[in-house]
Amino acid sequence: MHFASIDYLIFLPLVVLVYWGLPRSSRLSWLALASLGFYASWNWVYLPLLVATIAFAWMGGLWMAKLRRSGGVGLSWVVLGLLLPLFLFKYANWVAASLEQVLPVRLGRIDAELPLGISFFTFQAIAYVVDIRRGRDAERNPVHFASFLSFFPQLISGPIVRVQELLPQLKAQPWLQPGDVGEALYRIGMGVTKKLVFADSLRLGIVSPVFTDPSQFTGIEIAIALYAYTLQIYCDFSGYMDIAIGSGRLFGFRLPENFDRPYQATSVAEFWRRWHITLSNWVRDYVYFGLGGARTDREWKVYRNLILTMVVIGLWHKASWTLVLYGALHGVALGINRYRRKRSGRRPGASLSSVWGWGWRFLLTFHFIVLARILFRSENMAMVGEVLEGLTGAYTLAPRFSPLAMGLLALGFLLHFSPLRWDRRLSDVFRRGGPGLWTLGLSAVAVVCILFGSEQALAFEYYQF
Amino acid sequence: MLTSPPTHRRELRDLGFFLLLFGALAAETFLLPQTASVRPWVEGERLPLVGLMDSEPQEQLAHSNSEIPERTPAVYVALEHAERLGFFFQGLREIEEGKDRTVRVLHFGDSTIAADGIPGAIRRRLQARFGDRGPGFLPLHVDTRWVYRPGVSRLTSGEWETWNLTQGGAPHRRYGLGGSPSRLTGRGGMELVWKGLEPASPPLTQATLHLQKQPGGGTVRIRLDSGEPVEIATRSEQVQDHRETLTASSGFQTVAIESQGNGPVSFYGVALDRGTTGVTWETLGVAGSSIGSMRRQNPEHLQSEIAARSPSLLVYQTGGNALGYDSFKEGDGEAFLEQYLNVLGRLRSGAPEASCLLVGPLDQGIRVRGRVESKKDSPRMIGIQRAAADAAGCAFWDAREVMGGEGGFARWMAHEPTLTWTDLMHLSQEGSLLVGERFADALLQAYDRSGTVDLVESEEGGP
Repeated sequence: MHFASIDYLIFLPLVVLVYWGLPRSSRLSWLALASLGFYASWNWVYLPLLVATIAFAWMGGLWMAKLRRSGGVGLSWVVLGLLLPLFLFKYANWVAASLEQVLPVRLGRIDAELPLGISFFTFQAIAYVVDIRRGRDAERNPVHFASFLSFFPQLISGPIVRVQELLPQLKAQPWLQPGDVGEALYRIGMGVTKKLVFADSLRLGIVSPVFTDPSQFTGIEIAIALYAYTLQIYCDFSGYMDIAIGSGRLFGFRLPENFDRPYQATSVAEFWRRWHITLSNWVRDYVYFGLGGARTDREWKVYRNLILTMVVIGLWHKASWTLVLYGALHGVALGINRYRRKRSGRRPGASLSSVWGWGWRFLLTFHFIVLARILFRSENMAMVGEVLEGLTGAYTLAPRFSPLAMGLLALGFLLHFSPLRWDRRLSDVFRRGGPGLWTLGLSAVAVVCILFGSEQALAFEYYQF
Repeated sequence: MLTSPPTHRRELRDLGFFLLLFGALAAETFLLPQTASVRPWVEGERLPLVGLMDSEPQEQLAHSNSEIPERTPAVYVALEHAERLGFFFQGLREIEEGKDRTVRVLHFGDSTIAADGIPGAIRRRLQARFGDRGPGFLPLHVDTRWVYRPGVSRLTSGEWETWNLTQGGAPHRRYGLGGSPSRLTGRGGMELVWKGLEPASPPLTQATLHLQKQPGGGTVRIRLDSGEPVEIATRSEQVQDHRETLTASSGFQTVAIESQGNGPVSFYGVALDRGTTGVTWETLGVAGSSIGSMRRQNPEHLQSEIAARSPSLLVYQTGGNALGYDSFKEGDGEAFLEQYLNVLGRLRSGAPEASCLLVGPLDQGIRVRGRVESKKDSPRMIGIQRAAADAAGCAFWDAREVMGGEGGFARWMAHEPTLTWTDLMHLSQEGSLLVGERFADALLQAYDRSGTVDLVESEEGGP
């Protein structure tokens, strides 16, 4: 069941209305049940895996709490146990293929699809047990825990919610606050538009054809496809987030934001503070700090930690050498960022003194991100080579993409770089508005999506991770 | 039990009202036919929510490349009334019999032709079998967004001005064979280099410059490689077409054109030939053109330009740009048919003995409710063109059928690698090559049969 589908348009209000109609004591059970049903609607075969992960993490949490009191060590076993399905489904075949490249061995393969959302709920479960080992309380009620880990708005593609961010809310079951419904509908409408109108149109109209066979396209067309992919992946993923956050708000829950206009960043470090924020925070807390972070005896170890952390981010997305390289490239960029900052004495996040200083940093950062997306999008290194080679092709021909796709590309970037206060004002109008305004707004969104959206109900890009 | 606060109840009530209103609006689209295009669900689609139980998991998880279906082959489509290509087939037969014969084909059309994908594929097939007489006519200064000819490069200097049939405006309505005349003012020039595609091909030996003489016209110097230049004065009392032929028996690759700066020089193009027996398949496409734009041509000029090439076959492939014409959409199409026949008459007047072949438009897409569907009017356009072919004694080939007919564009668009552009009108290079290959199949099949069986009786079957 896609978020941006009529199925979800029926499913969500049903679950919300039943939730609020039930006595408080039954609401979380209903939420857990609905979430499991939501997951099963994709492929029921993998439902036992989700249930097993919930059970394992819940019991692992209780064990961690017990070990903490007794001083035992067992965290590694629980983490390894949680990582095992992820490894088997996502990384085993890649590791086997990579080993076969360098060793004279023939290894078997696992013939199974990647279960949806496995990277997200596995990382969420790992954070839960690690936090307990670090001193947080374990959740004793399995229903509460199940409703936390399987909460359907964030189950498939995040945001990666920490236990302290959601579980207390689930247990408190907050009432709806004034403006919650308006805000929720605004976010859902915005998310559906980003996904169906912008992301899918750019994907079908520009990105997919070019990345299917770059050799058929000129240099300028490939360059445009890179910009289009940069916008597409943002609209796709942040569109999902908008729907997730809006859906959560209809239950009275506040999910953390995952994006903050990332392409406005003026450094790669700032980009990662604005892009997939919950994953950045997760790897910072559980990988970067785990490796020693910036508190090391030697400066080079900080750079090593940065690169390793970013390689983990790359690999988290997909088991692929292009993603390893993507992560490493971003790690090196972060290292250069840090080196320059230390030399200049500028503090992280300090405002830039001149338009010129802002301008060149912005352009450099933005184009680094755009070019690095070649690694993110390409299936293999051969395609990376094809795209890079294609980029040096003719720039004199006018691009042969449809005016609609080109218009959406321009409009999408214009909106991305528009002042945030415009978005806030529109959101406020929705918050203060009533059913009439919401109906008008959402109907307009529906008409635009039906007329201009993709026919194929393409899955969100991050479902594959 | 906790009682919910009034603010919560108000929010919930508003949500309920919204759902009712939104649901009512959605339901209304099923009651009012005027709003049918925005129905959230239409018959034939999977039932919302409950339908999830029936569908395969893989269908629901469409991402990245899984949206691309299996390869769609191009369908073999036979020529209709191939017996009308007798003059052309006779020329080919004489070549096969060893006679010193040149068979020229002039392929007029729109942007689907201008990029040389379809004609290029046919040319390769025919020249491989009957001999390569050369690249044929090439316009000089072109719109490189659409006009492309593998093996040709153009280096220009000076002030060039170019017109085309689609936009009009060419002085004296003389657009040349290629539909794209150009004028060089002041000093400047062009080096047109033929790099050749087949290393073993015989060299080019003859270049014929098609230009215009006019009052106040300047002088231009032409040279083949490093040979002796030939000077042409284009000043004359009145506007007239002029063709200047240069030969280099040892072969050449470069045609250098240099204006002397004593007045403007207007060019239609240059024809490159080899001194060998064989076939030329000459690409004469103009982006955006249609029968309407073809009527911009000065008839006498067009007639004389065609006659100068003395073609054995005229191919006219158009229709895609005319789908929106009032004369096509309104009435029973009689007016459009009349215009079509008028244009055909102008083309054929330059080579009355030549065979004639009309080619229908390719399938084009239109986005309906997010889906790519075939334009509804294409079959009607093809019907009119068939009627025109019958009335004018031309053979006909249905290029849309090669794409599988109805829904062809969507299937070719979803093919991997994609066979179309995303503008829902044009084919990719690979798609064009596929159509060109099927075109060559149909042509050669008909030719092979023409020597042994009565073509009227036998138009069925593929190679």
